[in-house]
Amino acid sequence: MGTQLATAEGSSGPHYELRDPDVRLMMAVREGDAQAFEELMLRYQNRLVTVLEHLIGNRETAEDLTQEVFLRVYRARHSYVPGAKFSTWLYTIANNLAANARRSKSRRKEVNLTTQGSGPQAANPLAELAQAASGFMPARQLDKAEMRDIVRLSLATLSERQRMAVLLNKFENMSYADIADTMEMTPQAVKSLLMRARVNLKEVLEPYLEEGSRPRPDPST
Amino acid sequence: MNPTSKKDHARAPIHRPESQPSHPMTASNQPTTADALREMLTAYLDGELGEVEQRDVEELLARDETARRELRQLERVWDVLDQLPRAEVDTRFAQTTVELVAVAAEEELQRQREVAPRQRLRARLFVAAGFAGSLLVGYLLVGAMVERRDDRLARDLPLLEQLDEYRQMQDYEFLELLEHENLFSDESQDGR
Repeated sequence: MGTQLATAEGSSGPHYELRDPDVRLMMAVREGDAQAFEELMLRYQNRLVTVLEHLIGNRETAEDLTQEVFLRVYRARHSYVPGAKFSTWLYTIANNLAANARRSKSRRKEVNLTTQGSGPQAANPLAELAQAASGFMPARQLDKAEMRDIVRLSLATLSERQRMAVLLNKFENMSYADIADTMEMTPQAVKSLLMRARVNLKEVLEPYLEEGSRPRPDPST
Repeated sequence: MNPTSKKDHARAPIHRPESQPSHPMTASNQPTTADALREMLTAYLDGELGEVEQRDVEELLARDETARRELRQLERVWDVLDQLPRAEVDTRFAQTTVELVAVAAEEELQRQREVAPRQRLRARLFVAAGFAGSLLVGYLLVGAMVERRDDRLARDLPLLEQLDEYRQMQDYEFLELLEHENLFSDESQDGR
């Protein structure tokens, strides 16, 4: 669907071309400007890897998908018509590719489960978090790395759609309207999705935030 | 807290705290008034409310401690997400991407090369067909013109055959006189 979005609202092209410098770069790519493509790639590669890594939960897959996104952008250059912000178009491609990757991964997982059964790796991060939150965790201030892991795990407890909406909103500063375009939803649905995501994160993270604010016990006592 | 409004959206009613249960969800997982409040607070934090809604939320926050606490918690959780690491790819990553794209470009070029002879042949056939078509039309037009000239010759043949005799006549009145007296009626019938 990646390219469909770009071609769907062709009449508003000049509007986006004027407002969005990345759209102008993409128009140059359409005309065969290799430097413009490189510029876009450099602007977005870290951002894409960040979003995809937190979405998929694997750095290597995130990098592979990012490269695939750029490849799709290049292949779609001739048919590109600016119908949205460039980032909206780009993340629509990324979202679709990630969804495909997840689908094929879950198919592979199904096969593995039937042959191997569930092992210790199959532990639910939410269950781990809940266990720790219920008192098994030492009462000390969490260091930065620990807190980062807990935040990462709490993000993993969200549904895929909630996670994507959170990442686009948090890391890409996308408006509800842009997230709606990217994820093919209504802005109202995005509003509900983000509310639900924040509430879920709050329920998981709140105990840690409380613990984290507790001062470390004095070793001399 | 003064979030910048990104965009005005459809307005949802503000639910006053007096009428709200504090639990987030009902057992049937249906949206509750508490959810509606959280939705408004989330949109407020994201700067997604219109002016009127934003003012309503601020009025609510000014008078209701529960709403203020809820807002603080939602905001704190959101701020904690800043601790998630941001990826930094190395130069090799960009290089590999460029190489992948270069390979795709080469493949595209190759396909174009393969398609080009077929396209050229199609273009030549088209030109040849056009040429043959115009040739045919020209032939038919010329044929029609020649046919019209032959028709005229055939029609004027009796006159041409007796042109020398007609030229010997002095005037048209004399011929009319001869015609009137039926002296050459058979011949004139034949000559018509």
